[in-house]
Parts: sequence; structure tokens; C-alpha cells
Amino acid sequence: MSKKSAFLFFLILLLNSTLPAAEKKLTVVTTLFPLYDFARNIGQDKVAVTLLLPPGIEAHSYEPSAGDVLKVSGAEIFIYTSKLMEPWAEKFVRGVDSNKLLVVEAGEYFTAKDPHTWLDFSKALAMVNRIRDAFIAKDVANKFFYLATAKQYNKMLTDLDAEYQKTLVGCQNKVLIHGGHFAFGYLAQRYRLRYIAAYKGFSPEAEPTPRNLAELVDTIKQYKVKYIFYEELISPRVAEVLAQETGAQLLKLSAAHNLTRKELDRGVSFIEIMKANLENLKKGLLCQ
Amino acid sequence: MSVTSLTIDQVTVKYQVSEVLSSISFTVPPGDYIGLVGPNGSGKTTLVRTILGLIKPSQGEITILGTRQEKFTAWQRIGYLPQKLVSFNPLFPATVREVVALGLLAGKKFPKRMYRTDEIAIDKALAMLEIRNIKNKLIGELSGGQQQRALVARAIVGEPELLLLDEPATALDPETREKFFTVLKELNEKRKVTIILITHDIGNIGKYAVKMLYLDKKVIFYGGFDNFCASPEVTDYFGEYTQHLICHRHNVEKGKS
Amino acid sequence: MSMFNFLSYGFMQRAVIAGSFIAALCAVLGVFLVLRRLSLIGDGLAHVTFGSLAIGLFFNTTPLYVALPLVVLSSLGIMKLTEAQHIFGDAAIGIVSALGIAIGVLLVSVTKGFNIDLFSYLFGNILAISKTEVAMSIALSAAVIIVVALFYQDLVAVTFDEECAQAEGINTKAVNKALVILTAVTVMLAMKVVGIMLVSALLILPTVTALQIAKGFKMTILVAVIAAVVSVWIGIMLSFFLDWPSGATIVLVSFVLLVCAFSYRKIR
Repeated sequence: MSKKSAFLFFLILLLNSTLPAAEKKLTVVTTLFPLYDFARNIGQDKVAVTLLLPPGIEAHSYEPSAGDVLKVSGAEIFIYTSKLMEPWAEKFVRGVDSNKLLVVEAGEYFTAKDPHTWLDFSKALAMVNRIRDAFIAKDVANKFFYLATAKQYNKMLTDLDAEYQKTLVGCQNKVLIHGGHFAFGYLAQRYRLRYIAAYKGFSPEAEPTPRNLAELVDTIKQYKVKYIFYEELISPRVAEVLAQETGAQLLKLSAAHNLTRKELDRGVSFIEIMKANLENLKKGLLCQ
Repeated sequence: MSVTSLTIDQVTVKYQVSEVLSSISFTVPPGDYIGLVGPNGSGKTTLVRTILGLIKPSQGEITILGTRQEKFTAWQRIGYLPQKLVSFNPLFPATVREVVALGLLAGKKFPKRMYRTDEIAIDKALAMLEIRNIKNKLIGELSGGQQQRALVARAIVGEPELLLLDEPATALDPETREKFFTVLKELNEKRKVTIILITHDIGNIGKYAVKMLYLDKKVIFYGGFDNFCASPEVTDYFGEYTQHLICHRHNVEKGKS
Repeated sequence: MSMFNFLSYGFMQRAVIAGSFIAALCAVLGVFLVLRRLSLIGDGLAHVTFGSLAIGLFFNTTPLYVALPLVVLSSLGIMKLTEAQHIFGDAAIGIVSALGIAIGVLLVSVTKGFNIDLFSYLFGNILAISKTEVAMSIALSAAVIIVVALFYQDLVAVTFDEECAQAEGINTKAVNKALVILTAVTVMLAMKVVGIMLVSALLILPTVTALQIAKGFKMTILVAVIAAVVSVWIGIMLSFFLDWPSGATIVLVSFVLLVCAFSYRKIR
């Protein structure tokens, strides 16, 4: 902790002590894991964050339950990525009968229709800031606390970005073959990788076409790709088939939409997942 | 003739609590031709289905061709034509030939295969009912009468010793009906097939059946047709007038032939 | 990549081989199921599989070991409902399948999630078939078709007229049981290989196509098998040239065949 933030922390403590003893936490519900982790890091003990998506459930096609509506009804802030990422979230929020609820669309979509904004860490910074602002809007008393924690977290994201830049610059192979849906477009773009996904669609609901797969096989052979990446949660059938076809090996590359039960229980963080991804990318793309 | 075709001994069938058949007893000697008659809901079909083991009687004993029904397995010795044509799916894509072939399954052991001798038997049955010309037609595309004949061919193709027919003539036009009954008579007289025939047509029964069994939850009358006309039980049941009507028409037809 | 050597890709070869065997298998069973008004049993059992897999995951075992017997039991349940309780086949399937889905959803909610997405575990894709699955498809098809061949006459008799079949001494209940058990095993395993959409389509469409033109029962089965296998071949080929998903293309081809057969029947 820097001196400045230590000071801020002290200040916040002082401010807090002036509040009534039974302090009520800000209640926040997020849809996806990255948002959950961002909110958790910004809010820390000032905020009670709930992850709506049950572990292991695929994010794009989730159907909220009655309990989910209840959870959100009782919350003060609801955070989702975007209409494109969670098409169900927008409709769902309309069904929530609460006027104190602040709805935050944390992500954005600039190019194409790729909703996986958190996988570009510079865009992730913007997401963090939006969440921070929402917290401040609902809980002005802790403004400086949120500013400080968000800044701290953004520092981690910037460091992560730098580490990715440094590592991925020196890779022998620049072709990222992914046996899943089109999730890593932003990441590939930012670090100048060629990205080919088995499913052209941005959602795992779409099915790959035979020509997609044939192109993948050809590319794998042409560039002598040794490793194929597969996505989290969804059983990696397509990646397995590509591996069987080309003799390449499989490596996991998690887009962190959601975690498994085990990971969640272990308290895995977004930064950890991205670091694990970098390790696998380093191995798979033969980086120095 | 120690072995009877069929012995029904004190058979009672209940549907839930009400008795559909109460304490039925009768014996059918080999080679008999029995017309089974009675009003709607009198248990005629129930009786036939009970004989076939499709319904379990709550009391009594049935003996088929000398064997207790529970132990009876030689179902190829029995031919059966169920009541309604609708009991089979009209969209069913089988040819007449394939339908008739099903009648041979009862006599076969696993795995059931069709042999050359079976083909001959099928051809014979088809010829007997005069439906050889439509043997490759789909059963669903035929008229009711043709369908009925195909199903009768199925019932007789295994050369059964006992034939149970549930209103086989209802779907037939008068001309076909005549032919059909001629076939049955032939089977009965030449091949000594025992026949039990459910019919509504009491008036014509004497033309083909040798005996008559009048059923109304219990046996009202069982015996030769002429005795029917003289039976005081029948008079009690029908009243003199109806009995006279039935018997008179019968006598007229008899006189003609 | 050349357009005309699409069969040089291993995944395409596996799609054609496993696809053909599963198509033939589904068509053979489909003829009996459609005629018994159990057409939707494929969809129903898929739902039950979802619930059964959830139960398997709930008890932390290999899901398939729990799911297979449960799905077989459910299929017998469907049969029992249609037999004893005077419930129509479609209603029976609806009851059992709703129950299966409900149990699945319930368990997913109660346990607060699993370690893998249930649906992706459930639904295979014809383009993503492993070598083991090819072998499994061939073995399954061979086994089921042999059993059907051995009991062919009994199956026909029971499907044609259950009452007469029973009077002829055929153990109709056993035949019915055998049919639904074969169906359950087929749906479960084939679904994992080619996906439920394809399995339920291949159980129904080829049979209905065959019913339009076939002149006899054996021919119906034969035409259904040919229609199913041809759909798979043309579908895979078309999907390659048009850059469409293969499963959906196969279903469309299958439908086009049905329309052709239907028109042929009309103009004949």
C-alpha cells in the first residue's frame, strides 16, 4: 500500500467512525464473474456482492430463476456487461420491481459485436471505473474509499497488461487457435495475435460449420501449431477433435465468464485466471 | 372324443366391482360351430378375450384343447379375429401378405423366421378368402371388407383347430358375406375346425351355425337352434313373440334352401 | 483448402461414418416408435437425461453411470403409463420429460451450480466426434439392429395389433419393454455423439418419409434407413459447401426428402 492510500485508508476509517455503529453494506448483484470480482475488489468490506450466475453455468444463455429476481429486488446496484453479452439480463431487470435499483451496463462494445470487453484490460479499466462510479452514486459517504480501491485495482490491471505485452511480444507463433466460441477477439487484437475460433459466433450456442473446422485444421497444419486452446466450463469436444486431427495438444484458456464450483470455493480471482492464461499462452505460442 | 375343444367351468369375470360374466359353464366338443349371440354389453367379447387369456377371470377354470389355460402355450392352434377393425393402425404400412404372415408367428420359436412352407400356407389362406390379387396392397388402402378378409386370413393361416371370431361379417357387403360364411362352413365341415362366432345377426344364425349360445352375463341358452325355438327358458327370457319372430324367419329361410 | 476433398479431413470422415450408422439406427427404431405414436420419445428422453445427469453430478459420481439406468427406467415409466393407466403416448412422454427437466433445474438451483455446463455435456456435435465415439456408434448400431432383427416378427406383430399379438402368445409387454429400452440407450448414447436435434429428427422424419412411398413393412424400414443415411450424406456435403452448421443442414435435407415423398404420393 502506498503512503497516499494509507492516508486515505486512515481518513476513511475516521469518516466511518462518525457513522452509526450498525453500518449497512451496499448490496450489489453482478451477472458474470469478472464484474463480481471487480466489484468485490472495489467495494471490499463496504459492499456485499452476489454473483447471480450459479457456478458452472454457461453465461450467454442463462435463464434467471425466481430467486434471482428476488436477489436483485433486494439489491441497490445491479451490474451486467452489455445487452450483447447477457441478452437475458436486460429483460430480466425490467421484471424487477424496485425503484431504488441502480442498473449498470459496465461493458461496452466498440468493434464488431464482441461483448467480451473484459478481455481487453484497457477496456476492463473502464468497466472498473463505471462500477466505482455507481458505488459512489449510491454511497457518497465512502467516495474516497472507492476511489482508492478502484485505483489500486486498476494498477493491477495495468501491470497485467504490461506483463502480457512483454510476454507475448516474443512468441514464435502468433496464431491463437481456439476450439471454442469467439471470445478472445479483443485480447488477440491488443497483443497482435492472429485469432481463429472454431465457432464464428460470439455465443457458444452457435454450431461450428465444417468449413470453419477445415480451415482451422489447415491453419494448424500450415503454421505447425503445437497447442490448441479450449474454453472453460463447456466440454471441449471441438478442441479435442481438432487435437486428434492434427496431433496438437490442448491448453486451457479461460474467458472467465463464470467459474466452476470448485474454483469459486477456492476464491480464485480474475487476475489469477488471467495469469494462468498467460502461462498457457506462453507455452502454447512458444514465447521466450 | 375325450378331449374337448373348450371347457368353461364356473367362470366369473369382474370389471372393478360389477360382474360382466357370472359363473359361466359350457363345453364345446371338437368340430362344433357355435353362434355366440346376446344383446350389447352381454359379455360376448369379454368371454372370447377371457378364453384367449387377455382377461383374467376372477373365478373358474378354462380348459383349451385339453390343457388348462394357464399352462396353455400352443396358441398357433387357435385363430382369433378381434372385433373392431380399428384395433389396428390404419396407417400401418404392411401389405396384406405381411399381415397374414403374422398369423404364423404363434407356432414359431425364437428367432422367428419365415420359411418356404410358410409362403405356401399364406398363399393358401389368401386363396381361400379370394384376396390373392391384392396380396401386395397396403392393408390401409383397402376397403373395410377386404381388410376384414385379410384379418380372417391371418386368423386361419396357421390352420387352427379352434377359431374365435368376433363379429367378422359386420364390415362385409351382402355378397362377400355369403362367400365368407361359405368359407367358414368349409373350414368347419372339411377341416373339422371348431368355430365360435360372435354375431348380432340372430335371424341368420341357423344358416351356418350348428349350435347357439345365448349370453347375457350368464348362459341363457346353449344348444341346437331347433331347441332354441322350443326352449321354455328362452320363452321366459324373450317373450313368445320375439322367440316366434326369430324362429319363424329361420324356418322360412330353411324352407327356401 | 480445396472444396472437393472435404473427405480428406478426419473429422468429416468420422461425421460421415458415425453419422450414417446412427442415422440407420434411428431410422429402424423410428419406424416402430412413430407407428406406436411415440415419436417424441427422443425429445422426452433427452429431457430426462438432463435431469439424470444432474442427479449424477449431484451425487458426485460419473454422471453416465447414474444417468443410463435412470433414463432406461424413465422409458419404462413412459411405457407403463401408456399401458396401464389409459394415458396417451404423447401425454406419457410429456409427463416424464417435464419431470426430468424439473429435477434437473431443481438440482442445478439447489446445489448452486456444477463444475461443468450440463447442456454442453449433454449435446454432442456431428463435427466433433472422437475415434472412440465412432467405434461406439458402430457397436451400438450393430447391437440394436441385431436385436431388432431377432425380434423383428414380434415387433411387427405388436406394433400392428397388440391384442392379436397377445392372443397369439407373444409376450407383448416384454416386446414393448425391449423397444423402449433400446430407444433409451440409443437416445442417450447417440445424443452425446451427434446431439439431440439430430437424434430426434432422425427418429421421426425418415419414417414419415418412408410412410409416404413404401409398399410394405420391410420396405418402409428400408426406405427410412436410406432416407436417413442419404440425409446425413447430402447434409454433410451441403453444409461444407454452403458453410452451414452440419446438424441443422442434415435436418433440412431430411425435411426436403419428406416434402418430395409427400408430393410424389399426391401426384401419383
